[in-house]
Amino acid sequence: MTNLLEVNNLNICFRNGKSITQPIRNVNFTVRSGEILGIVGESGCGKSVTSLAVMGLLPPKSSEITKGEIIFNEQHIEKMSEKQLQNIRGNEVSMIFQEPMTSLNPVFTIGQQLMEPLKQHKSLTKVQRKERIIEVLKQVGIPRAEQIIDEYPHQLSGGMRQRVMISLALLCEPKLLIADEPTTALDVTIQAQILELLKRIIAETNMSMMLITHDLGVIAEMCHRVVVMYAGSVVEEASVEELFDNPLHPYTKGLLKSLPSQNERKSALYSIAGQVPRPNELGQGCAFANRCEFATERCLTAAPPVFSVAQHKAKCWLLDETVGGVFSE
Amino acid sequence: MSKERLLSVSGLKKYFEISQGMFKPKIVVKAVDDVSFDIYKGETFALVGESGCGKSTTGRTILKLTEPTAGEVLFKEQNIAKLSYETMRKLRSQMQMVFQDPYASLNPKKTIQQILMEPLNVHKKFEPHERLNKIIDILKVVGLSEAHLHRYPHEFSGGQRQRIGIARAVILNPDFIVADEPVSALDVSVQSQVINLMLEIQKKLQLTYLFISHDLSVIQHMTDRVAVMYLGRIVEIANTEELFASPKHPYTQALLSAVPISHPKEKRERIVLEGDVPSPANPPSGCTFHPRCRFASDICKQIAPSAVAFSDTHMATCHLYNLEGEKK
Amino acid sequence: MTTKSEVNVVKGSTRRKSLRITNFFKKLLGNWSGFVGFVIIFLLIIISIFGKQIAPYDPMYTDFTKKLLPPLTEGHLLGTDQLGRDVLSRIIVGARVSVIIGLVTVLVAGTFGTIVGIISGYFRGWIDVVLMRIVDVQLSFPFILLVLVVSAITGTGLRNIIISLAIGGWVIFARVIRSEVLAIREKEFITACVATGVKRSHILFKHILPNLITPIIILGSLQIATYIIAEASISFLGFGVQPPAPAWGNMLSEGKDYIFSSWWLITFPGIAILITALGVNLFGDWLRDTLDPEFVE
Repeated sequence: MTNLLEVNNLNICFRNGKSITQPIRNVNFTVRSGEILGIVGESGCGKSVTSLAVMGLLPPKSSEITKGEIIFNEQHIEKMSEKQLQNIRGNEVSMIFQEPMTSLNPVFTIGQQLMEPLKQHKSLTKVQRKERIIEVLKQVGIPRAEQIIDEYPHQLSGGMRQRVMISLALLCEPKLLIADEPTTALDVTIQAQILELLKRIIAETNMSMMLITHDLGVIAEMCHRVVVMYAGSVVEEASVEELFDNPLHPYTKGLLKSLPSQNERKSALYSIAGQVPRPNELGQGCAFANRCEFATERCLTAAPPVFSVAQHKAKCWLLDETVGGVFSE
Repeated sequence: MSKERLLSVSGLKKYFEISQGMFKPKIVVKAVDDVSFDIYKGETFALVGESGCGKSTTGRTILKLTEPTAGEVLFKEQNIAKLSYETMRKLRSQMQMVFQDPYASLNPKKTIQQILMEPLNVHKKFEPHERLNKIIDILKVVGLSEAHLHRYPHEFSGGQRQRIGIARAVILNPDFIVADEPVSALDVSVQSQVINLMLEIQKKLQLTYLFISHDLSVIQHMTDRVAVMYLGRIVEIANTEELFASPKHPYTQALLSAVPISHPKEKRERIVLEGDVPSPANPPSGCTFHPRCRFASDICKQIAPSAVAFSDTHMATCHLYNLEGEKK
Repeated sequence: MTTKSEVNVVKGSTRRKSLRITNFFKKLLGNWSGFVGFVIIFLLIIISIFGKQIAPYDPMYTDFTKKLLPPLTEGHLLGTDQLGRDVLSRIIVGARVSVIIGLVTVLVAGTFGTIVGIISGYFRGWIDVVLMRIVDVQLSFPFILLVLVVSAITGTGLRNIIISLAIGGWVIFARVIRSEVLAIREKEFITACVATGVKRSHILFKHILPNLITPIIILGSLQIATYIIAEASISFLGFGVQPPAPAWGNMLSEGKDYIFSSWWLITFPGIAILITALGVNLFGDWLRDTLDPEFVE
């Protein structure tokens, strides 16, 4: 399989007045064509910032890619001008956001909003555009697609709006779909419908997907490979079975163990002590060291490199003895 | 288990009227429509359902944070549904609430000491000079410390704020706590900390919880009995283990099957519900679930089903079963 | 053990208070626009208290031999007017009128308007309907016109100007505060107060009112400037402070006849009004940010 997206050693800085924070530190991952890559982490771990960087949507004044590269389909996203980015966004890479309630403009009809990317990226006649829109709306399982295009967002339910958002992302047949918490705002039964739909579309179209979520259940359900992020860096990367069967990083282990379904009913859940450090509290060592039950002197003073076992990579000093062999960056 | 009834809700209704302008008839939204259940001392009773099913409104109506339209709420065998603000106010030291949003539920202009002092002042608990020590004690119980007394809410993370919210609820030593989605705004690793805290103080203070949530895995873990709500009504009540082992109502079955799997190798037969939840302003006739139900027949469209008892502890409202609890 | 921790905490709270005052000035020095606003207001207050002592000449002293002197001639820094009175001295002494009118009117109108707004927003129902219709009716009149009509009835003089400005100005406070109260009373922390068992009056004064401070300050600082300008306008139209007593408004009014020959007669009082309005707004903005515990620079 070829790599559709490569993120190499990405570093992003945010400037807020005089203070500079670095929410993204040395992030590496790849998305292969046709696969679903899950990015999992808690709020503030940098998963959304990373996805915005891939879309070239970082706020230009307050943020900066200080190091590293984002290579999509052999093009360097981080070097592109706004105009080049516009040609890629919504066309070759598109994005689904968390909030289906606010991601659609309330004053335009569904049809008008879906028309926009087609006008921008494809040279189609008006009739062809309408046909394409109806085709995509049917593909995402919207009943009465012909009528829906003349309706306004407020006339649709949350689940329907998220379907419309997905159809908006699919219109130009992108190569990469970035879904940022696509089902977090939805109810479980609707979530099941949407996940089912996304899975079907990926299987049918040979598209790749970057699925960003905090929900390990959604990861288990959907992904082929998983990247675990913590406090702005990738701590573990593995295939989904490998990650759930044999997590290497203490953070991943803790997350999996703290799921209520992994604990005996009514017992105290396993929990990771403490809380995620703020970006300005990070020191020299491993970002997880202050919460880690296995932390040693070395963890506090030096940031661990990536250790790998076959396709399974993790950033943790514990693997030094057990696994051996430093993965070169 | 000796069962002493702490709270009994019967025929509770909460309708919201939405005015459509002067000459149009008002729209009536039946947020809670004829809900009845009992909660026994020391247990954790869960209300589960999807957004808009009325579970939060039920919780708030029980605490009279909104006035019930009809029905009775017996707390320690006293009907509180009709009490005045002032009489109810005095009772509130025995029944407290933990809110979903740890950001919105703490006054941003008050320090932690002020926030926690308020319930003690209001209900004149303890001698004034003891109150500060009580606050420090309770902060320690919820995993914070004296050092946090003079901080403002925005200086805390979501998990810490929820700890403060819990401290505020338990500082008066109440008997009953309504917890409205207390962990759903929190991250996974913090969520387990807060669940542990709630379980721990329940044991320590002998609390009874009404636990409102949409997260079935949390409910399965920490509650004793569950009521499943759909469109303002309870469709099934059972002991937690019983409910998860053998759900009877088609909606409960679909809800349980929709929960994401916990391991990629897990295979689960999924019952996909067609369509969306109908609007509570215009609920379907008969059984309100019939437009989405796989087993719907003609009778479901016309007549609302009555409760069927499967055991002493398990009941569901569905036409699929006869009154003896057997499948027709 | 118990007493020890208590003592520590008490100590902590007093230390916090003194810290707050030094912090106030530290923050003020750190913020350029807030500091400028503060300096302007401070100077204005000094000038309005010691105006007569600071002024280089008697503001009422007329000398026809020295009328309409341009700025920087014969010891008159800003020139003289048509009666030979020193413009600088008149601006300095006239500051008192502006400051008193700005501050007192904002206190009167702000207090009354806030009370009406709180009653309206918190209790809702018929009282809200009645109060807000009164506000609507009044808002449909232009502010200056209303003030003029009222001052035509009450008559001239400082007290009457303040009364008529306050009658014209309270409605804005009532409207803004009402909508703020409506927003705050729906916040979850207010529901949390009800759930705790807090008395209604306590919720109103201890929880809703502190959250109104920010909008009151913003609106107040904007309104002070409006009142100072309005006083100038009505003095300009002849309803305000009566000559020969100096006020910025009547200086403009008298100077307008000489606008083409002696520009300094209206330029300098105009600049004084502008600087005052600017200073109040700058300081108000800064104060709003500082009072908000969540605001981090």
